[in-house]
Amino acid sequence: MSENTINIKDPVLSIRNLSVSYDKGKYAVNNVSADIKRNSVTAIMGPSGCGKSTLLRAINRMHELYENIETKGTLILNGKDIANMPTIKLRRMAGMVFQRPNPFPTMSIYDNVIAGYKLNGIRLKKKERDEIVERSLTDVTLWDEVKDTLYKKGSFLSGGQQQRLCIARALAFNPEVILLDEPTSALDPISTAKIEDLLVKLKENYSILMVTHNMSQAARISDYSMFMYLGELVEYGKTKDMFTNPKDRRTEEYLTGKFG
Amino acid sequence: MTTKKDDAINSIMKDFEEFANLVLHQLDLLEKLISSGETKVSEELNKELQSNEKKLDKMEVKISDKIVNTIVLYQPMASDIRKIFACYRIVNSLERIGDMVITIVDAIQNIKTLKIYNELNDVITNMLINSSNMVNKALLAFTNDDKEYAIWTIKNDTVVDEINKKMLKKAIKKSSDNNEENKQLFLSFISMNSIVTNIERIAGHATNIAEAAIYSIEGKDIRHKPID
Repeated sequence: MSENTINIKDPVLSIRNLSVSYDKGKYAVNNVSADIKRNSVTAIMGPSGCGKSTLLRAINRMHELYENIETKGTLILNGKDIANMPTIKLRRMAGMVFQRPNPFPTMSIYDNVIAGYKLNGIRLKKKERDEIVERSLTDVTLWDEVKDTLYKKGSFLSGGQQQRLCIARALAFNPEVILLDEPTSALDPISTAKIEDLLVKLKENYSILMVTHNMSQAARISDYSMFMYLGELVEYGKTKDMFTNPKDRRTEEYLTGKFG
Repeated sequence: MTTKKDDAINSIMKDFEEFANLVLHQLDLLEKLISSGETKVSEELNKELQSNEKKLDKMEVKISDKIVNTIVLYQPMASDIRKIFACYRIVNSLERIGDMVITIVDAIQNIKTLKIYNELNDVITNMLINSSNMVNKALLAFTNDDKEYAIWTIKNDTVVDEINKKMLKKAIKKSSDNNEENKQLFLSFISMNSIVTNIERIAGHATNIAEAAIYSIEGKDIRHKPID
């Protein structure tokens, strides 16, 4: 491992020499290696176009949907190489939440939570379904707000509630890691605070990897931070160290607003 | 082009410089008073010292307000937060030094036995020059990001401590040699003890300033740790 990173024992995810290119020879992510700690929030920061979302999407192999994208390197999730996993299994283990809340508009709140099971043809008994829905909605602190309206469409919820519903949808599979791509950038400050509180609570049971543009948010809720620039992992370390005493000049300049 | 955050930090540093220069000026005035060997303070000097002390109190509040506002409005990070946090710590130390200057001036005016004060005057002046020099160097360490000056200051603290110990030994010897166990002599000794103790504390605050400067420069908190 290079000097810009840290050693983590028994990581939930190991990224080794990961490179992703959209055009041959042009790397959006360039030779990134890092270990992600279990039961912690890890933030990925960096200016637009630095490769942070590309890195996140490589973790559940979303790039496979596009022919022109080439991915090199190794990703070990909970001890297993993701390259050898069926994508359905991988995406259950690494649930993704996007920038804009995207509940299935025609589905009820209840069906949205168990949508992953339905869409993958996994049959569950009514009792199992009820348990998963209640547990997942409780985990995202949405149960009390929606328990009497479970069969209403998810799209009737507020933006913040919709985003928590999307996180509940990811939690329904009991994932190893939750991947969040700027999960609060489309939300108001109150909804943002609720999601941030939720992520801090969720790390008791899940490992969280989150892309964020909001440096204050990374400082508030993450335990570890990565700083990426031009596809490279410039610095990775404990958030409190990086935000007060960054080691690399580029991290220092980004945090003090010299660029980005 | 500077950002609003840069402007806010520059404004804090501008006020800080003014504040620090005023504290150094107070130390200069004190040095002149002590080296003169006089225990009477002229009305003019007293007025200037008291007026500067009031200015320092107001400026301390103003700088603290600006620091809080900058943190709330701009969430400074990395070297920016270290700089303004160190500035906050240094301003607290400088304000205390300002208070000590006034305490020392009061103690000088309370000396009743000039003889002992005059005999020890060289040592006290030397001690104050050392302490003032430490404050000056510690401030330069902070404003110029110069770690060497900070380390020099921290190491020099023991020199002032040693002078203080020697001075106390000398004072005790003088008071016993004299064999005049009168109230005046005892009170003079107490006043002088207050002078040297406060000068020693000024040196202690210079060390605090130097430690804050190292935090600002390198992000290392070396308080309560031995220095190499």
